[in-house]
Order: sequence, then structure tokens, then C-alpha cells
Amino acid sequence: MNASIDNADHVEDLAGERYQYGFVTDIEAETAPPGLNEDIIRFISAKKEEPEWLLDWRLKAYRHWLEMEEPEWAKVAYPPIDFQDAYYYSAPKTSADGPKSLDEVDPELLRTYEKLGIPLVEQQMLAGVAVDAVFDSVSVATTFKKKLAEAGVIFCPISEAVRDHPELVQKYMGSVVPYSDNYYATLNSAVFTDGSFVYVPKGVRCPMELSTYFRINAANTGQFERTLIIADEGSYVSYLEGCTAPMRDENQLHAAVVELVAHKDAEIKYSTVQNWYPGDANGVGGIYNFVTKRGICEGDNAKISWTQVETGSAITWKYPSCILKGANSVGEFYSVAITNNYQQADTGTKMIHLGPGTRSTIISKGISAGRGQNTYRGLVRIQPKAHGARNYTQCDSMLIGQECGAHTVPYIESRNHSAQVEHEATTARISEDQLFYCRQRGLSDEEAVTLIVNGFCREVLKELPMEFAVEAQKLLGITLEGAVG
Amino acid sequence: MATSTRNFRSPEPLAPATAWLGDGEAAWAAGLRTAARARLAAHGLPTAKAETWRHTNLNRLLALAPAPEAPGGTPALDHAPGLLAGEAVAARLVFVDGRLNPALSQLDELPAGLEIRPLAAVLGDGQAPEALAQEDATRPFHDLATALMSDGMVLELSPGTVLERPIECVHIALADEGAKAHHLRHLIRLGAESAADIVESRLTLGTGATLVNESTSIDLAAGAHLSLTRLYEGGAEDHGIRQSFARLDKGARLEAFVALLGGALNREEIVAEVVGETASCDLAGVYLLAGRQHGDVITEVTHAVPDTTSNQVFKGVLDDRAQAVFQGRVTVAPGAQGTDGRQLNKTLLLSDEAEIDTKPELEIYADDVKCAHGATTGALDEDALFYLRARGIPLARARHLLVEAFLTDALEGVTSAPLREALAARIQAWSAPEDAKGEEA
Amino acid sequence: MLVIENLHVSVGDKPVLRGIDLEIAAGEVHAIMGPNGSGKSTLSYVLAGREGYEVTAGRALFEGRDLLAQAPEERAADGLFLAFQYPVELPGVTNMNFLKESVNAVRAKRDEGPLDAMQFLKHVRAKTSQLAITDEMLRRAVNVGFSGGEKKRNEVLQMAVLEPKLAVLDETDSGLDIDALKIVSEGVNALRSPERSMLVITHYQRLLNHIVPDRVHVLAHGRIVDSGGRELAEKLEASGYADYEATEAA
Repeated sequence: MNASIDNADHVEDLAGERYQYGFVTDIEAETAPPGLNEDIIRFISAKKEEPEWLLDWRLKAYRHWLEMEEPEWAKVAYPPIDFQDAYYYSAPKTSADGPKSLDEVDPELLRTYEKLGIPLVEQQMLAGVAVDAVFDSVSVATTFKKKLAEAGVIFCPISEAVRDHPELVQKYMGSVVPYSDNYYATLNSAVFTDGSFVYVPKGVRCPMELSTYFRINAANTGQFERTLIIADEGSYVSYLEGCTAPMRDENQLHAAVVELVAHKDAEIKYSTVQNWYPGDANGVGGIYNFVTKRGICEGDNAKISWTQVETGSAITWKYPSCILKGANSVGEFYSVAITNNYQQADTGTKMIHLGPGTRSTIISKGISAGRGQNTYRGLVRIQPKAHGARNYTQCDSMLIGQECGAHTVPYIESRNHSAQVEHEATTARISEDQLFYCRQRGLSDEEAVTLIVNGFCREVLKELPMEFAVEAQKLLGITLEGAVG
Repeated sequence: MATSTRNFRSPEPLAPATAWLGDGEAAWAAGLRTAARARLAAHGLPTAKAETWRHTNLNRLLALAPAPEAPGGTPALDHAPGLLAGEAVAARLVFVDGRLNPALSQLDELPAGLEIRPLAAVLGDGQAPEALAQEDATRPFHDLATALMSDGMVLELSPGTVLERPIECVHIALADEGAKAHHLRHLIRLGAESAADIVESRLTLGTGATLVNESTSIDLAAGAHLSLTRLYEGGAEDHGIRQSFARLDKGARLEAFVALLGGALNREEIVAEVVGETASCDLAGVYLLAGRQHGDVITEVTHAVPDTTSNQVFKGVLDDRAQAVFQGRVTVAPGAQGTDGRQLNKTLLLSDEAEIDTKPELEIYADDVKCAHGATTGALDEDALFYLRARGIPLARARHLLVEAFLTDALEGVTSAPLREALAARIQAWSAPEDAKGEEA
Repeated sequence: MLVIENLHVSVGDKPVLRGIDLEIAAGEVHAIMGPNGSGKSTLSYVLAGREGYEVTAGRALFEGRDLLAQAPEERAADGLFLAFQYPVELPGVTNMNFLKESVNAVRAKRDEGPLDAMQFLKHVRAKTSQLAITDEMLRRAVNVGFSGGEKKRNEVLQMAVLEPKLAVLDETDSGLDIDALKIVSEGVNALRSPERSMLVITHYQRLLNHIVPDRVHVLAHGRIVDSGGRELAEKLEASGYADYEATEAA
């Protein structure tokens, strides 16, 4: 049986609790002055005790960024962002020197994560999941480090990796998403503060799920984390990412960069449940989630699989992508994106087939409700050497109500005749017949909608690790509250 | 989308000063030309930043800088090979080098209710036809056509008139030397409950470089039915750029079929606004390209009101270093419930150097709709090929049979049987390898 | 169990039911027969609470409560079950999950706790074998890609699992061959009990050979024009509906 869908109960439990993670942690923070300039970048770099090369790299990115124009091609609308009006560094004072052993972590922070459902005390944790907790600009705790170290797996905040594993960081950072890649990735390269670093050595199957939990707490502060995951030959790692933020009236920027490198025969499974504060029912507040995620299958038979459930954020702009360089390497993208009220999502993927025999699968489920706008935007590119490459894409949209929008913008570029690309897209709504049928069997309107939407998303949800699947199903129900009736 | 100054491309190579244009025309005509030229100068020609031009390279065309030609003597041509040559037609228009050739045309004895005039004559009228003033800032070639229009077809069908025979329109370019450009604007207006079949074909005689740039405005009143078939063949230096703007009123039907069988650059852009309930818009076509040919099919169908349908089926076969682009968009406006919009694009790549860039796009703002699209690209089915060869069919012939089979359902969109056969023959000639042709003879 | 008094229903401006009176006691099986367009399906949808039907007069009481004032799911929780003439497809929602959602929703409204996975599986398994429903069918999405017979068997399975007090079977025989009809009828008969009432709506008498009713009513032009025992169904089989239609036309 599937991961039993007990959403009906959850919707009841959470009724009236539209966004349950909207609280603010009252904690003393060390915050850099607002605004963006080279001094701030030097401040961040100094704070992290970074080597010269990294500061240079940041400055190079910043100078390049100044020359760039904000992208306008996405189907999202928002007032201009004043980049000088935001804070680029905020850290809980007690953690300003970086994470310590769990015993030393501020109890207020531990309570915060407990409230978010992420206990950081190892005894209470879900066995088999190690967590890196990132609070505003810094990592405040990383669990199970010892156990992972025994297996040779490095899992730590990226600022720590810069200190302890500079050769790995220098070799791989920017190798998949160069500092000049795009407006937000370049901004991130200049001001990134923390994030997770993972290295899985040759032949190692990571003994537990790795997970990073991102939390924006401070007001008017952007979060710019950078995650780098390297799976060496023949290794395997499954990584989960979750995110929440307090309810605030102003929009906050989250511009992350995630780079994945999968060597020969390695596999990286990356799952996201994105639940940033979406703004209120009138579209006030919420996170601008402008994220660059990209992985490269460097070696033969490597595999990268992205699974995302995007329920939060006022605006989502992200395209987790795969560069399929190694022969017979595999890329996957499974996505559920829901927009309700005034949320906007422009999300999809790029599958760049370079090597022969490469394969990719794209399954995208977009759900629009209220005045939400939901766009799938994807690129499948088959380069001349990708003999026998295969892609299958399926994009389904569901509309709930008459004021929302669902858009599909797939780009297919094929330069190899032996490659096969297949794209299908459909649009559906929840029919009156379906609702009535469910209600005749005893389900309420909202239960029926949640059930039908979960059914619609099933192919994607089944890709998530069990704990995340249950969480995701809950979220779908909550996000759609008030969407019918 | 606004073009920033950094991405400006000067229209100069395609729009040189042409003092002789406008002789004998009304003042309003000069006004239209001047205004179009001003817009063109402001916006420039499309760059790769323009979404529908991102895969289409204009450098070769701009280097050729084909220029309009002042009217000269009657070109020596004694017959016009068209798709319907020999068939009985309601009217035949033959344009030679961008100007109507009365001797080759058949415009006397038009059926009652049908009026056809050359645009060159209309430009001398006291008043401008409304459709001629149509602007579209996002399509610079439309402005180019208005600024430099030499002639065109102005067709009006009175309400209730149902033509029994098709109207044929042939464009011939004589390309002996230099690079010549011909810009035309056509206006087609069908009254309520009228019906017409229009068959257009274009060919080039000679091996010189040409640009034929045409803009067609189509207005279909309530219940009108237009079937439009277009065949474009062209040599290695031929450039054809066409934009059509159709407006469909209540219950109107547009059935367009386009065959792109050659040309250095061959672009078909169809913009259809479905503004009347129960109207339907069917766009179909094939593109068969080889060598270094480039073909574009750009469609934009907007469902503005409830209960309308559209269906698009475009199929293509690309060989050698040919490149094709399909960009189709179906937009369902807020409130346009009950829309049924479909799109299908399939491409066969026969060579490792051919390229297809396809983007079937849906933009939907109403929930009670049925919209779907599909796109595939790939090679001939190896299993099918083997099966045919195992039955004794030579490889080349087997490939040809499979290509034909692949195109069959696209041709079903062509309702006229003789026309379908003529197109099938052209397609067969395109895809049949020399040795296979020999076997058939 | 069910009392219908002078029920008038319109669809749009068109009156479809024009004064229905019907009383079904606990444990009774009533059949409603009638030609196409007589209002049979309208009656079943109105009882279940589908939108688009306007009750212009009359009332319907289910165990003494005003049925027509309730939401569809409230009626379901109270024990009213409609076997749909055209069961609806729910892509991606597995049959098993749908059953579980329904059972637990109904239980919750009755202040009963949810069944755990094992209890539930046992509950369902007890019902499936008789209806020739395989585990494979339980794993498939609700009614998606089901044959006509499979859909109807699936409806009866839902009925068996939900254990309603009153089951309305709307043209459950339509689209069934004789073997499928037998399986479905046996499934329904197994659910007959002194506490459970049924309203069997059908065009043809053949279903009533398998599910034998206590009372038969003839519906024509929105009214019950004749009532009797099971012999009435046999009479109809012989003479057809012509008599009733003629009466109305006169």
C-alpha cells in the first residue's frame, strides 16, 4: 500500500491554522548593517574567517552582478526589489562563532526547531535522519556528525567545510553553477552566508538520510544559503530540505544556490518540501524564493533525482536542473507546485543531455487555486553527441476556481536524430461530479479536494521519502484551505 | 516585450529608401507607410532576444540585403504553374515579383458576391480599408510589409455567398540576379455565413536570392468558413516570411493548412483571435526540410470567449542540416469556459545534424477547459524499418514509406481531394530517394 | 426509514418530479421502474443531494430528519448510499485509499474512531471475494480504466464496506451482461437485512428477477402512477410502459 494518505485527519487538526510556522523566535542576533556593498561582503567573509580566494571569488561575483539585469522572462510579477534595503547577515549571537556540539546550542533555538517538528536532540530524532539546522545566516547545529564520520561521510555547514576541507570546496564550488550564472545565483555567490556541505566518498552508501532545515527568522533579512553535495564514484546519498519563515507583512528574499556533483555510478536523491511563508490571503508579505539548483552527472551511469513539493512562498522561481554529461547517466525531476490566494510559481527544470544513452524523466503537477498563477517552464536539450538519449515529460495542471491561471512553457531542442523526446501536457479541474461522488461517500468538500489533489500528485509524492511524503500530503491540504466552497 | 537599446537591430538592410514607392497613391497610404517605417525604426528588426526568433538566424538574410524593386517592364512569363493548374477555379491571381500580373490572372467573370481587387489599386482609393491600418508592434516584419507594400489581394465575400470553386493565388519570384525583396499585404474578409477555399502557392524561377514578406489580415464574420491552404517551395536563397492575423466571430471556422517544403528561411506565423462563441480554429501543416533549410511555424491562438475550439497538428521531417522551429501558444482568456484547445507537434529527424526546437505553450486563465498538447521528436522506428526490410523492401524505400506514413494524418486536414493529392505528390517527391523513384518509374 | 411527501423537483425551469409520495420501511426493498426520462435518476440525485436540482415543493425525511436540508456527506454519514449509474473516475486516488477515506470520514461524523490499517484491510477483504474484486482492482485508481461491470461491482463493494441503512441503486444493471448482473445482484442480496432498506431504480424487469422487491412503483412523467407487488414488474415486462405513457398524454 502507499504511504497511507491520512490527510482527512490532518485537515481537521489544522483547520484555521493556515500557516502554522509563522511564529518569531525572540533571540538576540548579531546583524550586519543593511545594504549591499563590498564592505558587507568583506564583513561576511571575515565573519566566516574565509581564505583569500573565497573573498576574491565573492567580490568577482559582486562586481559581475552590478553589471547584470534582473531577469524578466518568468511569468511572475512583483514590485522592484530594493537590494540596499535588506540585511545580508543575521546570526543568533550565541551561534555567531559557528555551530558547536548540541549541548552548547542555545536552548531557545532548540525549542524553535522542536516547534517546527525538527527535534535536534539526537535521542528524540527520527532514527536515520541527520539534520543541519540553518537559522537566518548561520548553521546552528548539525546532528549525527560522528556517526556519519565513521562512514567517511562529511556533513557540515559549508562555512565549516571552507575551513576544514578547503581543497574540496575550492574544487567544486561554482563548478556547476558558476558565479556568473544568473542574477540571483551571482548575488548569492557574493553574499552567501551558510548552507550545507556533503561529501560521500567512493563506494559509500550514506547510512542515513541527510537533511537541512532552513529557517528565516530575522526581519527584513535575506537568506542566501549555498549547498554543495558531492557523491564520489559508486556512492549514494539521499538529502532532504525543508524551509519555513515567520509571517511578516514585508516580502523577504531567499536566493539560494544548490550544486550537486555525481561521479561515475553515483546517485544523489534530493528532495525538497518548500513551505516558506506564502503571504496572507490578500497577497501581503511572503518569501520571494529565487533559487538556482543544478546538478551534474559527471561520470557514466550517474543519477540525479530532484523531487520538490512547493507549497509556500509568495513567488517561486526555481528550475532544479541536470547536466547529463556521463554516458548513460540519468536525470529525474518530480514536482508538485501549488499556488493559492495570490501566490505565483514559475518552476520547472532543465535536462541537458550531453552524453550518449542519457535518460531523463520530468513529471510536473501544477495546482492553481484562488488567484494563484502556476507556470511550468522547462527545457529539454539534446546535444549532438547524445546518441540514443531519451526524455519523457508529463506536465499536468489542475485549476480550482475561475480566477487562477495555469501555464505550460516547455522548450524542446533536439540536435540528435537517434534521441527520442516525448512531451505531454494536460489541463484538468476538479469536476462537480468528482466532488459529489466523494461527498456521497461521506467526505467534506475540503476532504474531497485534498483527496483528489493528492491523487493528482501521486506520481510525484511517491518519490518522496516516507516522512516527507506524509508532511507533503498535509501541506497540500492546508495550502488549499478555502480554495473551494 | 520591450526591446532595450542593447538589443536593437537596425532595419536598414531590409528597408532602404525607396523614393519611387507611393506614386499615384492616396495621402492615407503614404501616412500608413510613414508610420510603419517610424515604428520599424523605433523597434528595429527582431533579435535573438525576441522569444519567437530565439532559434531563427536572420544574419544570412540581412547580409543579402534584398531590396524592393521599382516597377519595370512586364516580366517574360507565359504561364503560371500553380497547385491547381488546370483545375476550374472561381478566380486566379498570379503575382509576379510582388505585383499582380493581369495577363496570367483570371479575375473576370467572378461569381456573384465575390469581389477581388489588387491592393495597388486600393491604395488609390479615397479611404483606407480598416484592416490595412492594423498594427502589431511585436512583429516588425508586419511593419516592414506595410512600409514597403507593392501589391496584394483584397478579397471580399458578401454575406451568404458560398463559393463552389477555390480561389487560387500564385506568387512567382523571378530571381535571376541580385537580391530582391517583395512585400505584400493581403486583406481577406468573409461576410456572415459565407464560405471560401483559398489555395496559395509560391515558387521562385531562377537561382538568385529573394525575400517575399507577406502580411495577411483575415476577418471571418459570424458563421463564415475559410479554408486556407498554403504551399511554399523555395531554393537555397529563398526567404519567405509570412504573418497572418485572423479574427473569428461567432460560429466562424478557419481551417488552415501549411506545407513548408524548402527555402533558406521559411516562416509561417499565424495569430488567431477567437472572439465569437462556438467558433473553431484548426491549424495544421507539414514541414519537410533538407540541406541547410530553415523553417518556422509560429502560432498564437487566443480563446477570448466561452465554448470555442482550436486544434493544431504540425508534423515535420528534417534531413541533412535542416532546422525547424515550432512555437505554438494557446491562450484561454479569463472567463473563456468550455474552451477545447489542442496542440500536437511531431518531428522526425533523419540526420545527425538536423535540429528541431519546439515549444508548445499553454496559457490558461479559466478552469472549465480541456487543453492538452503533445510534442515528440525522434528518428524513424528501427523496428518498423527492420520489419519492412525483412519483407524485402530496400532500405531507402522503407524509409520513404515510413516518412509518408508519419505524415498521413497531418494531410487529413486538407479537405479538397485534388489538393490533397497534389500535396501528397509534392511530399512524395520530397521524401522519395532517387533510387526509389527509379523503381517506381 | 424514508418518507417522501409530495416531492416536486425542477431542473432549470423544467419540472421533472411532479409530486412523488413514497414510504420505505426498515428492511424493505422497493423498486422504481419507468421509461427513460421519467425522472428516475433525478429522484436518486435529489435524495443524495447533488447540486442543480431545485426542490420546489414537498419534503423527504430520512429516519425522521429533513434529508433535503443536509449536505451530501451528512446524508452519507447518516447511512444513505447511492450506487451511481455512472460511477465517477478519480485519477490517482486508489480504490483502497478512497474506501478508507470514506469509511473513516463516516466514522468520524458518527464519533467513532478511525479503523487502523489492519482492521480496515480485514473489513474490506471480507467483502471483496464475493464480488470477485481482486487486490489489483483495489490498488487501481477509482473507476479509472474499469469496465462497465467492474465499475458496478466497485459500487457494490463500496456499499458493502460503508454498510448504509438505505441504499439507492440507480440503474445498477445498466451495461451489465448476465454473468456480471448475477455477481452484482448476489452482492446486493447479501446485504439485505431487516435493518437495511433499498430503493432499486431500473428500466428493466430483469434486475428484479435477481433482487426481488417487496414493492414495485411505476414512475412516469415525474409521478408514481402505479404501485403493487413484484407481479407489477412482470406485468410491465409483458406490456411495456406504453399504457402509462398513453395515460399521461391523454
